[in-house]
Amino acid sequence: MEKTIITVTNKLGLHARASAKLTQLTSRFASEIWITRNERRVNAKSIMGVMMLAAGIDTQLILETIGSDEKEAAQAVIALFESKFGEE
Amino acid sequence: MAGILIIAHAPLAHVLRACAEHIYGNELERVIAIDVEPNAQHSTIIAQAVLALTTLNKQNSALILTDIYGGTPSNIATQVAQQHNVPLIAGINLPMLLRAITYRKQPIHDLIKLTIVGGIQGVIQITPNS
Repeated sequence: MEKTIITVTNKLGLHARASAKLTQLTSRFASEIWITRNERRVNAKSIMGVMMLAAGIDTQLILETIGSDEKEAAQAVIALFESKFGEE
Repeated sequence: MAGILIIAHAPLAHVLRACAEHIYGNELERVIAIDVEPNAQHSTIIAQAVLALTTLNKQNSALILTDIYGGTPSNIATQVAQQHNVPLIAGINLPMLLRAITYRKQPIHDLIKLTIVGGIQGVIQITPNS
């Protein structure tokens, strides 16, 4: 399992478009991918699950990837967050 | 991959489709919206729906989403769904549509359940602490 803390840095946070980009990315990996905010842990392959986190800018999230491609999945998700979802 | 046909009171059908397209950031394939205007002829809408289903059914399986059960769009959709043996769900909202698009590669019976649950799960009271 890979476990990392990621921070939301884009202005609009994990809004619908960003959540869609995230879930389109995560669904390419075989591993389970989970994101936790406080006590809420959601499947990062579900657009509505991700949106339920209501993660605005500066929110800290825990990313977990579990499976055969867990390292690649974690790196890809981190890169997406760091790129601010291509929005800025 | 299931094709999705939306039949709803104008302008809901094409507006919901446009929202989903904005959110996904790329062109939505095999999602067709039919708006039912107040004075629309049933036969015209039925013809449009049948044409849409012919397009969508090319790759097997389609799902029809309509707005409110018992309304004219829903009644028309029911007729079309029964004649063409296509599943039909009423109560479309944006969460439902996004869910249907996300899971459209699933077998049709799973897609139906996921779509309905998606619509229901989208209804949340937002309180200061939620």
